[in-house]
Amino acid sequence: MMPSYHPPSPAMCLRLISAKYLFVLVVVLFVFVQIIPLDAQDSGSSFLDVTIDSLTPYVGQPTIYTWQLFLPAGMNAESAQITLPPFTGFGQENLPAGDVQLQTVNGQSMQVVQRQIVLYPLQTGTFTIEALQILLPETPFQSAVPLSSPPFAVNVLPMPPNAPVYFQNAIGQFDVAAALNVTSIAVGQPVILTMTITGTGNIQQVLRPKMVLPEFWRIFEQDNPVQPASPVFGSRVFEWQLIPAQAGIHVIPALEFGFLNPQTGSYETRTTTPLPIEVLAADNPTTSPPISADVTQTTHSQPDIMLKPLPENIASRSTNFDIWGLVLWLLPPLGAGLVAFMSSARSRRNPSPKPERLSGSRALQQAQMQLKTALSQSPKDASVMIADIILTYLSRKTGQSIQRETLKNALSGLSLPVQKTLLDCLDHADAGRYAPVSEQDIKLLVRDTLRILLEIDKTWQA
Amino acid sequence: MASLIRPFAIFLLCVLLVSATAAQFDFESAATAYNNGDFATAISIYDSALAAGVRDGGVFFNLATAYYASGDNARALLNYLRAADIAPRENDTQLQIARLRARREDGNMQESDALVLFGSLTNAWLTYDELNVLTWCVWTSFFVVWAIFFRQKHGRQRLRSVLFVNASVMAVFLLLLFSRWYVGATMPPAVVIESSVQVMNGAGDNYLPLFRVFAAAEVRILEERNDWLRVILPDGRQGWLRASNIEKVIVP
Repeated sequence: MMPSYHPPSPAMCLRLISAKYLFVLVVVLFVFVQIIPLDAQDSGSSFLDVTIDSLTPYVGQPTIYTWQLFLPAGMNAESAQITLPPFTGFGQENLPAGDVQLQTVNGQSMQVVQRQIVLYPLQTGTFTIEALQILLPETPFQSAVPLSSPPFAVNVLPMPPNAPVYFQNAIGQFDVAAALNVTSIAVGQPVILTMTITGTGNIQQVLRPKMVLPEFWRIFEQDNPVQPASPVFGSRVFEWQLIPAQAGIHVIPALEFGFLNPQTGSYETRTTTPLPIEVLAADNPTTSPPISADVTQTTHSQPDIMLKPLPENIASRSTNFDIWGLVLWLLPPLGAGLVAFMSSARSRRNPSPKPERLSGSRALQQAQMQLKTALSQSPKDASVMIADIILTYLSRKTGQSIQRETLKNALSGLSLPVQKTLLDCLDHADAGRYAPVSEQDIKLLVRDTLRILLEIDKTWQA
Repeated sequence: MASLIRPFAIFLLCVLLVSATAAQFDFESAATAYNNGDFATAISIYDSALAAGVRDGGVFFNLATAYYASGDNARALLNYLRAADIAPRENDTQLQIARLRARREDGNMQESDALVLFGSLTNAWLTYDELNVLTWCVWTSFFVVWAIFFRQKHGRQRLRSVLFVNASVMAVFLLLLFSRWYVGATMPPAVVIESSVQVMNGAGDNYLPLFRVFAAAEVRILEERNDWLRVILPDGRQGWLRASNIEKVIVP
């Protein structure tokens, strides 16, 4: 019996083909993962290395904090998120970042990102530098990878005692040299003294050494022409311009430079060689002061400054007069305030004081001046002013305060036409307050007022 | 008013008489000792006078001169500055101050703080008390004019300009007085009296050493903490040093 052949059904064929292709796909993917470095996918092999120069630095000693991030070659280092520790207790300065390097680690090609920070311990004691955190971000092939360094305990040591006189703040290992730009000059001519300090340590913070020369040298500090490129090594150059005031063969004494060597924990002093210089007499020799041994400490065995004559009895002050000073300062404003208060109180009690009576024709003269002033005012203001001028004139002439209500009594001694004209002037002036008036009207009113006041004045004079 | 002035004046006079006590000091011996080169004796006599409360420009000058002759330039400058504070128009005092400033190791540092410069504008001509009295006179005249202005009903226009000028002058004087007082009170001047002093960046020996200052350097005190003082130099450098290394110029 022939075995019956059952051709595979279409559905079965599809299943077989799918399984075959799936297998091939898996194989291809496996090969792809193995062949291509797929650096990014394998960021699990990334690691972080952090070192610090010294865990027991002296206060002020520059210490380098270095971190290196190892990433598989080809991975984007820029995307790493870096969180630096706060470096509490330290001043810090970033060193320039170098290029990314390639290294082989355990047979794997890795790129190395390195950064350095110079730390300056500011205070003695134990300080903890917290962990450096780096986060490699999530990629399509794997999740984010956090990296972290262990924290460091740094014990900052105090400066050892018995610092030499010439020690200022230098910590490290240094050497010094000095030179003059010329070997022979004339009196009054400048010579440049250069001192070069070279070494490793806080070279950028090194202060200018003190220059002590005999008094006949004038010393001018020059700006530093050269600054070290790195904060922790290089050369520092200091310059002085020296001008001698005395001829002869002189020697610029050795310059001393003191520093703390952190390797030995002791202070060391470097000394430059003394530099001879010939100072020639100038054409017009100046009268130079005599040589003195030291600039700062000059003891005079014979005093050259006269004392001031003093009386035997000198009053000693012991009382503090602050309270009296305060009282004196308060008196003027208090006095002025009192005057103001009294003045306002009086004006409240007597709102319309009795006018000063003016003799002769002074009241008329003042009225004339005021009327001239009224001409320069606006018509409305001038109207108000003219009414006031008339009443003020009458008040001054009579020595009584005259208002509109008491006007008739005051004018009782005058002829009726005069009274009528005066009242007309007042009415016109009052009307000007409320009704529109022109400048021409005001001129006429001023003229009429002047005439009637003149007439009144003549009458009362008589 | 007159009845009030008389008792007040008598009271003031009594206070002045009680507070001013005349004391005898052997300044003749001090001068003799100085001329014989015995500066220590001269210094001790002048010091005893100052300890007794004497505040005289001549005594400070002589004490400073004795220190100067003995070679102690720091205390010499300190006492010349004290003498200048009491008698600022003495040429020989100013000359000695200039000489010592030029000779000290820190050199002749120029003041960089604008407020200190403004507050010191009158230092070379007037004592603080003189400036105080002058300002008080201007202050009083302003209020007198103001009171007259207030009382005067006529001629105020002319008084207004007088008042304005008076107010301007008073403002200038008040600014000068206040800035001088403020600088003196908040940044009292002092002089380094030790030959070399390490300035730190904190109030203690365990801090970072910043720089050194030398004898006769002038500083201003900004803060005090546990026998340590935060000081500022005329060129703007700041740091902490021990209180025992400096002495204040203004004597209480």
